[in-house]
Amino acid sequence: MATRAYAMPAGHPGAFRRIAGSGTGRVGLVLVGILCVIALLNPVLAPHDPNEQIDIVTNRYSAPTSNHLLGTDKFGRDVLSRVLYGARISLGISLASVALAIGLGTLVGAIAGYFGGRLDAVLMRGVDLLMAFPRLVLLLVLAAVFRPSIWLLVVVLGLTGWMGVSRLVRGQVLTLREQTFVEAGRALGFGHGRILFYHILPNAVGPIIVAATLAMADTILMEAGLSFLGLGVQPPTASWGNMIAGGRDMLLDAWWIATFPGLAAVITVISFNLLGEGLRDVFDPRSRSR
Amino acid sequence: MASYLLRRILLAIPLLLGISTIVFVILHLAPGDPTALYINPDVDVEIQDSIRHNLGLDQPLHLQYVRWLGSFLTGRFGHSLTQHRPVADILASALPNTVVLSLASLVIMFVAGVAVGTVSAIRRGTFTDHTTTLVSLFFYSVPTFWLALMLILLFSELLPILPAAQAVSVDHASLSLWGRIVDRFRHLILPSLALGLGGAAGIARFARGSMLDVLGQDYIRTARAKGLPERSVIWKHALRNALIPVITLLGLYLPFLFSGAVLVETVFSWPGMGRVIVTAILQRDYPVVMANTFLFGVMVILGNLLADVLYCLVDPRIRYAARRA
Amino acid sequence: MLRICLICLLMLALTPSCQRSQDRAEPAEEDGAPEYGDCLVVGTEADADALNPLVSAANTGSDVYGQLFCQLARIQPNMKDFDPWLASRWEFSEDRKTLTFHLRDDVTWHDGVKFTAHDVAFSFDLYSNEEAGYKTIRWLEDIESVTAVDSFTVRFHFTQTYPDQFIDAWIFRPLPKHILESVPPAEMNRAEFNRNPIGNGPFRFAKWIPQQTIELVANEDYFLGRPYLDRLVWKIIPDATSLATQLGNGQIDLWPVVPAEQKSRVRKMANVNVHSYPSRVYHFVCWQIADPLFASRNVRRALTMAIDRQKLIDSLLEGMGQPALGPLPSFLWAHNPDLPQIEFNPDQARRILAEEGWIDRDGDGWLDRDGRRFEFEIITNGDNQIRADITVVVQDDLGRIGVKVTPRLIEWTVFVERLTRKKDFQAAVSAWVSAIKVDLTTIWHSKSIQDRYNLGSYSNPAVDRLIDHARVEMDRDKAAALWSEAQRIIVDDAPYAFLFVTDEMTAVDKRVRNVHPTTYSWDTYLDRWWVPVEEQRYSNW
Repeated sequence: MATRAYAMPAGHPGAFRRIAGSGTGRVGLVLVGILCVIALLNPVLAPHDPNEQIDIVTNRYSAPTSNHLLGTDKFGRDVLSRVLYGARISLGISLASVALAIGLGTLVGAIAGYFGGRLDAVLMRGVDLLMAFPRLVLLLVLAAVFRPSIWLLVVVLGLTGWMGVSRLVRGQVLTLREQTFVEAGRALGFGHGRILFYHILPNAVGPIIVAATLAMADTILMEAGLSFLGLGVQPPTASWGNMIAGGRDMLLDAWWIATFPGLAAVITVISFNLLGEGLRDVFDPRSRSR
Repeated sequence: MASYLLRRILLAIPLLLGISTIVFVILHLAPGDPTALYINPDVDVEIQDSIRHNLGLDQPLHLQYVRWLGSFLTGRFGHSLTQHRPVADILASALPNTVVLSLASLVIMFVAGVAVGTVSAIRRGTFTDHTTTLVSLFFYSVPTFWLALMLILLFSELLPILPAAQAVSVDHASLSLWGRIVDRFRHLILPSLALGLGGAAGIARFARGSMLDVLGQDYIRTARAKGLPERSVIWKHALRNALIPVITLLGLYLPFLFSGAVLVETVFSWPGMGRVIVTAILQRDYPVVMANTFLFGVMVILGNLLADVLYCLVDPRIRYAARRA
Repeated sequence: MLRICLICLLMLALTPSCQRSQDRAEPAEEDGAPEYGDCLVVGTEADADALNPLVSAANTGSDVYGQLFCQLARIQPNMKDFDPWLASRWEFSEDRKTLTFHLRDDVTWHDGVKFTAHDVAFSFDLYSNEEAGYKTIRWLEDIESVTAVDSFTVRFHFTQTYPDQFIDAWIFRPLPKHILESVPPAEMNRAEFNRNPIGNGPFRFAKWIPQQTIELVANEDYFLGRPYLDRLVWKIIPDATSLATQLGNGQIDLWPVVPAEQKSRVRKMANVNVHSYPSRVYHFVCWQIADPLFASRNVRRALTMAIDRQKLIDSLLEGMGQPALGPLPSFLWAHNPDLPQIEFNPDQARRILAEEGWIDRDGDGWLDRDGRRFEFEIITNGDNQIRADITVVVQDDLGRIGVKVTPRLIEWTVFVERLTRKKDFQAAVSAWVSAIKVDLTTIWHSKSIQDRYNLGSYSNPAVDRLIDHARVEMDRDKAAALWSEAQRIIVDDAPYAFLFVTDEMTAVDKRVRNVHPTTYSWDTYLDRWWVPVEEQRYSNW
């Protein structure tokens, strides 16, 4: 194993080439890239204002046409624009909450794995307890107790999603702390914090990135579920989840309102799953899909 | 083996204490007066005070906590604010429905997942393999509630062949025994598909990997070299061993299963715990919400215990290890 | 979705006719002679909260208990006259301070115990007991006491005389004394009776599977004759789309109130008769006058002017509704037909706001004054689809004149509390169900601001005076003039943007005969509905 003090993530130099080489990873990367572009370039790409009620009386519930490629909804709003705008909302919320979850989980897992003993036992018991609840149930209860807002969503999604990461990081740290470079660091008089954050964790970055990518996929689904139930993004702000909820009443007559946001969510989640697996192949060759 | 199980059961008890503590903490995280969550806002102020005293909500926090633990662990969950009846009654009638739905979905997940995964592994690299991988990826990534709605669109609206709501028809009680069985079964199909297909996809991918691992083992090559028919090789030798890691998945999947159940029950108006908790949350019926959350935690713990038992029965290594010890 | 509205008192005042004994409900000859049998399956989106008239606060509950419990008199579909029901006749005293009911002697509760005047007296005491939590307890304010003169004579004593005395006495449904006298009033909310009621009505309670079905069976001993239908079943389906599907394939026979989005779909169903009639519900936007933003009458008028009511009706209601013209519905005698309206005129609205100092000075598209932007939050209860939709359209309409509105959907009990008790809102979308008594006190009188239903803190001394006089004015014409003037001032002051009155739609399976839903209620004379034997669907339950 590497004895360098500042280790790079395993396989980093050739990572990009390897991702590009791995079929799944390549597709995932491209798709995620497209999604990021969409999210960023929303105002340019969307043909209409997502909240504009274009002639509500005559234009509502109209099927896909050239003017409205994905049709219009109950208020005459363009579904395509709302789907695109929803991408920005969903990706934004998920990114922020995954960052929070990763940060929190890494911290807890690193401390537990490094110091071991009672602290580890207590922390991991806590993790086990929290993981005993279905995540959506925890989300619902938290979202109900506090007033719904986008920031609350980010916090609540982050607070319910860090447990798996902490277990992962703990495992990594447990392995890595037995390495000679850690002993060397201690002999040199480095403090625990410095060893942990400068020496051990950088070696664990790979699996953490994989976990983060896959967590994006899961978080997007959770946010959609919350918004669908009415406890996530509040209408009239467009989120895929609440658009699907809005289309539920006219499922047969105006199927486009519920179908297209769902497809958008599926494609997004697939992309992150593909990217995550491609990354996993890169960072952990043992689990390369055959 | 018995000692192993006993140990697992004993470990579950502090878990139960732990989850009721967490629910207590969440309740008291709420901004404002938590007692307001337990009292109907319509009631007059003096009466609120007396209710508060009766429920022990004016005691110091640690005493409340002890009281909370006591009541939760003995099943005294209080009274629903909106339905005017004991919470325990509400949950008692909802619990079996969720269990039925979960079991049906687990069956689908397991059977479909293992079957697809095995076929994929056997025909690795072929068109079948690639197609099933893509399809699995799709179902793995789909939002459960959206899948539920699409199933309703296809099989209840476009082709009205399956019911899209509730667990039984309105005239269920008047049907014959066979009629009742069929009625329940028909109502169960779409919800369990919606809930199970996503999990099946996940299990398929895992089972495929597990199967490939097993197929690459020496004893399989030996069996083939001995001239055993392929079917026997797969069924008798490979599958059983490939299944063992899959069973460990079942325990891990339970929280996800129940998360999905909340959404599916809402879409299908299935009278289970998921629908109860969503309705209770939307109506601010906190006694029901807290008890329901606790119960979900209990179900996950029990489910894990059952998965452990299953694992024990299936994996001979554990049995041997326990025997030798 | 839940359609729970706050009940308001607009009462139809007058002395009711007493000896009208003809039963309007007998089926018409063309249909043939009515036959017994069959079950009617009613679809509803929400479960009942309780089946006790004292406790229930929601639609399904009141629909069900309406078949279980009778009143002293039965109101006719014209909402003006009354037929005998539990009472066979009644009369006022000379000074009109007492009202005496003579009860039938052949009425029994569903458990066989005889119904007597003691039940009525006991019920009044219970309903007017604050601890019991009767939601509309204020309606009983003017009744001082109710005494049982003998077993079948009961006397109401009023604190003052006014035109609507009869209606105040008529409104509550007597409860069985022999069952409820042992329940402490404060415990009424949790009583077993709420889930297992004993009434005296045409149907008796059979079974309640929570969140699934509520079953009633015909009361063989009903004093007006057993209902033709054998059974009533309420089937709870929280999703409107599923409800519509089940109506279409015959799994449900009746949908009392079809929501707007489903109306066109239900119309096309071949197996269903659709009855459309004006409802008693009117929707509005309430401006919180205690908030400095809305203190000025001109500002309120301008905001009201910017909302396009007709567009709301054409889009959200698909044309099935009428603009709401004022605080009194058109079926009431005191309704002022010549109320000047605040017509839709966004340009004029902008001009008025500019005169009040609201101009877009910083060019950001929103009006501002003294450095503050004209923005506010509009709230409504999220479980009601129509109201949620109204907030979205209002946001759009006001946005076009430069006013920034943020819709906020909140949960029902919180909504009620913020609206009635705390007055903690800037603008709110809600609806009133007009009752049949003409009285503007509860909503428009300044004394109703303190924890009663004057939501927007509206206070106009002229209106207060008019209301106080009209309430006790026994001469109909004089009273009408006073009420007209009060309505004119109210509309002019624009404390609400009066939006629309919906057309109610009730859908009933074609096989059911003698169905005549009216504005008062969809279940008018349900005990006389019947199904020909050859068309009966559920005859072997």
